[in-house]
Amino acid sequence: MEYKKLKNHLIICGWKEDMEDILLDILRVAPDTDAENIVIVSNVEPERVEALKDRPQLKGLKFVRGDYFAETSLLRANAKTAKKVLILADTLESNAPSEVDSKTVMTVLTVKALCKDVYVCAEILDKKYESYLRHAQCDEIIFSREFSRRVLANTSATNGMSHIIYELLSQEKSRSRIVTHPIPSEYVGKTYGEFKRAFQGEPQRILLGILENTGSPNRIKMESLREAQKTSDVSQLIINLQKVKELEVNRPYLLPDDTYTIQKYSLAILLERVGA
Amino acid sequence: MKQEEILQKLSQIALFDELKEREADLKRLLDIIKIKSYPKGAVIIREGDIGSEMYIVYRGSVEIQKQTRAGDTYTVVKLKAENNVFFGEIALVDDDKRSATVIALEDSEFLVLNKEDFLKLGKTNPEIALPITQAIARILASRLRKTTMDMLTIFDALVNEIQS
Repeated sequence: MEYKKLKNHLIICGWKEDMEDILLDILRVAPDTDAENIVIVSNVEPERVEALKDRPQLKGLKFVRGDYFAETSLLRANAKTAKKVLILADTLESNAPSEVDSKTVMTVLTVKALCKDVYVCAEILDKKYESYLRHAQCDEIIFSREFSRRVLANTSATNGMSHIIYELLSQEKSRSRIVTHPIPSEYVGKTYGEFKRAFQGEPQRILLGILENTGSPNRIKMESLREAQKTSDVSQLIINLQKVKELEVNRPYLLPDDTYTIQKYSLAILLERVGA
Repeated sequence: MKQEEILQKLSQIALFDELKEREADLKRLLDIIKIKSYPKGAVIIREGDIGSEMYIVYRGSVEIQKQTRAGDTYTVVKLKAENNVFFGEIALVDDDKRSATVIALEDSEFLVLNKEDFLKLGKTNPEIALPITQAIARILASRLRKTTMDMLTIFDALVNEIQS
């Protein structure tokens, strides 16, 4: 199939055995997304995708059969106008981490070559591929194995830590979740302490920190580059340009000092009661 | 505007340091100085234009703006008359391609020295023009030293970048 009219959709590259659960979780945490706006690109047998559609919530799911790292497949999924591309560590055709991660890097390169403004989130198995993904301008990297290992390590030191993390992400028992919210423009340039005070009368929401450099990485980089030039001091100019080079997209900063200055393109990280 | 007030102002300007004890010479300089007024927001000089006048901020304040290579405008500094500031001094010795735009932040008055008048004064009164020209030469030498340092800073940054 070809989906040339789709816009602002989510493309999922690759396949996982628990694909149904992944899709249902996506629909649960993003209520504004429906299956009509999700395209799976994979070499999986079409019958398995059809089987997913037995679920009423997944009825409109779209599918492009082919190599997810191939430009032709991504063009058929209309990657140029997608809102986000999520690349899974797909072990359908190979279990070798190096092969799986290499395909992921190739996919990021292909998507970014088609449209550098599309937000790309990639899951990798081996952390040594992180630098390749960063060079390929990947916007967000998920280290699923590393994440599990760290949860295990934390659990050995603190009782219940895995339950806390699971609950924060699943919202199965408590009615709270971690979310990001836009920061009102009047707080840009102000301190974290001043922003924190705005939450004092809100028991339903707790401010956890700031997510820096959010939005289109390309736009942020270009704007930062323009801002960096606004000095007549060459030493300062070089410092500014180095900062642009090291700019990290979507960098979380949990519980910063009260003196921390809130930058443009930041979001507030909140723990909030569901329905607040 | 009293002549004494203007003489007092001239004696406080760094460019005329060597003349500050020489009241007769300052008065001679005063003869070729014009007073210009600009309303708030007026552009006094524009970056890239060729100019032939030097300005001393006599009353009010100005903002110095520059453009980046990307064409964005930014503020370099804001200057008040109390700080005894001047700009465009290179225009006294050469046609000056203005390196920045200067805008009046409020209704302001300037003491303006024109290149042609200054060169004429230099021919008849070299004892007045020479110390001013020397002061301008010192400013240029200082800028050249800074440019050399800037080049070395850029060179070091480039080498570091290649090494990393």
